[in-house]
Amino acid sequence: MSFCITCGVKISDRHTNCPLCNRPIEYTSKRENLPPLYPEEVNKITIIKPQTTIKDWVVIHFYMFFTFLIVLSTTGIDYTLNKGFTWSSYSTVSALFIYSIISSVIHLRRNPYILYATINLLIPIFLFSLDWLTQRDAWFIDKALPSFITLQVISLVVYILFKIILLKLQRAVTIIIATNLLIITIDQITSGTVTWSILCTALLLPTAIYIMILSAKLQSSYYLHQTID
Amino acid sequence: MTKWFPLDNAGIFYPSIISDRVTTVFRLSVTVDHPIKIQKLQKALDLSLKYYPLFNVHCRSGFFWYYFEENKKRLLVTQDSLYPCRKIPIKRRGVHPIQIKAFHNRISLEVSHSITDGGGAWVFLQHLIHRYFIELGYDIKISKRDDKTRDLEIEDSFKKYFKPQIPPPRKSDKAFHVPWKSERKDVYNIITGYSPVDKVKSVAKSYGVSITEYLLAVLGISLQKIFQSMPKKCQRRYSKPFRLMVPIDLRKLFPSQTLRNFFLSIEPSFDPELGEFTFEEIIKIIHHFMQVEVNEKYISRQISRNIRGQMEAKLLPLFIKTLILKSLYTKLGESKYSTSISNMGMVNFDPLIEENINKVEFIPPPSALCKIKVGVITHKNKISITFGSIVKETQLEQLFFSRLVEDGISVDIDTNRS
Repeated sequence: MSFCITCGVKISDRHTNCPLCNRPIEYTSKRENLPPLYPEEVNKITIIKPQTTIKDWVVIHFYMFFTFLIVLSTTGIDYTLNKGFTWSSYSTVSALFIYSIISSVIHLRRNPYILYATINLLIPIFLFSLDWLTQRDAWFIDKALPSFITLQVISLVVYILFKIILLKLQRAVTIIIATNLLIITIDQITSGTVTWSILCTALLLPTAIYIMILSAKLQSSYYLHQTID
Repeated sequence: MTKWFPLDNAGIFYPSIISDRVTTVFRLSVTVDHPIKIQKLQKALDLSLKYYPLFNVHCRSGFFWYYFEENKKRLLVTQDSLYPCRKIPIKRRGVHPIQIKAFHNRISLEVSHSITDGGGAWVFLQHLIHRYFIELGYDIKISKRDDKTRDLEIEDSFKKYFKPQIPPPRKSDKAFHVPWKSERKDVYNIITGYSPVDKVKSVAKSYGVSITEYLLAVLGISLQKIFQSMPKKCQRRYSKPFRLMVPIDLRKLFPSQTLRNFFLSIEPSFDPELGEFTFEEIIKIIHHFMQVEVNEKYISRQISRNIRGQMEAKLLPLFIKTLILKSLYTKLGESKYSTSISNMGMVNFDPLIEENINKVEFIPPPSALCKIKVGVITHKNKISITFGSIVKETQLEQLFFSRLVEDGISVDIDTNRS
């Protein structure tokens, strides 16, 4: 601690100037390395752990029990009827998938980015398991995975564009165009050529153009009023 | 506890006037000797809210008045922010009127004035700290309470001690306010001075007054110096009485156990138009004013005025009341006093944990018109005097603390100003 020669008060080692008169303080001894008194964030509300409540735990345990019940009953019935595991594997995988989605939403709802990443990891795993269980053709690698990746890429592009585009109408146009692109790509992936997606394009493209014109018109009238004022 | 209860007579104002500037939120904080363990604190908070269900509520709006209802949502510990006492959106469903914030070694309780005053908030914070230390393994005993005590804690003591035959007090005129411009709405500057309480007490005793009276006089003379430093033209414009508001804890005057708002304020004043006052004159005015006004009969006049007002406005729909209350608060409240000192007095903890507590602070709520307010609290031999200010200038704080230093009281300063 050091004194301010103007005010006569002792100043904490955190400060280089006197908080009362703003005069620089001369420290005769070495300054103590104190932690900050307040955080640097301005009014940012951060929830500190724990994220899950007792009520959430009840929900998680209920679904865990429910999943366990489905898995046990379906496998039991399947084994009794067919003397092996056939269709019960689909229900088991589906029940596990639903349980993992619910628990991850409850656990990670305050970290939306991690939640988004987790769900995007769980969906391909689920689809791959179904593909592996059916053992007919590799539809996951050929169709589901490229479609899923396209969806993610387009979502990412829209997310970035939304940082730049702030007007609601322009954002609506962006979403329509992105949806149209997604539909065309999925059509391309699944059937090899552009087939049914033409119909969607015929509907979506004029809508997008109409909204664009409307947006431009509204903006020009807004600026016109601005200049008149 | 009953499922719902209406706001008390002092609290009915607050939901209507809450804004980003007038947040009506004050803070009590305790600094301990170790970094806070959040999990333990959260557990202690859960148990404390069960013990004091009065604070586990959310504010709902009825047709005539706002009311508090049991809150089913869990209150979570949050991280502290640079500026304390920010707005708690209490009118939103599920939002508690209190917040618990943690940062390094400090646990802070931020409370909306609509639910309780400093006295009630302190009882809750003290209990929370005790629970926290129990979680850490300390053997602190917590007494069991019955339903009767809980009912006494949520009673509206204003209504209980209202005497209809008592006339209201005389109206006062506008007071002097510091001439500086307010900063951005989210800025709330804090400067805290820590002094040894025995030294402050001996200085106050040398003048023959209490600590609160002495601090009020120091604040009064600092305001007078600010007024005198202004150019003559401005002085004419700002020439209004220096009125200092002091909230009085009515639990000391009336036998009440309530944890809800039960305070009223008295306002000693002196007029610059009568000439320059010496420190001794100011201290004499304040001392005698306090001696006269702080008694049951004089305070009853204010209770009578407030309750009567509440009864007269009873049948107006809430949205009309909100409009009236907003203008009433500025017209009858803040414009009538220059600044305020809230002295929480001496606080303590269980003897087992006293040595683990480093300091206690009390930050007053931000004020739009007075701009600077003072909160005082004493723990062990340390008195902490906190200035909460929404202006950039620090002249008042400088004059105040310099006067203490002149009187031989050492002051350690800390702040959130950069």
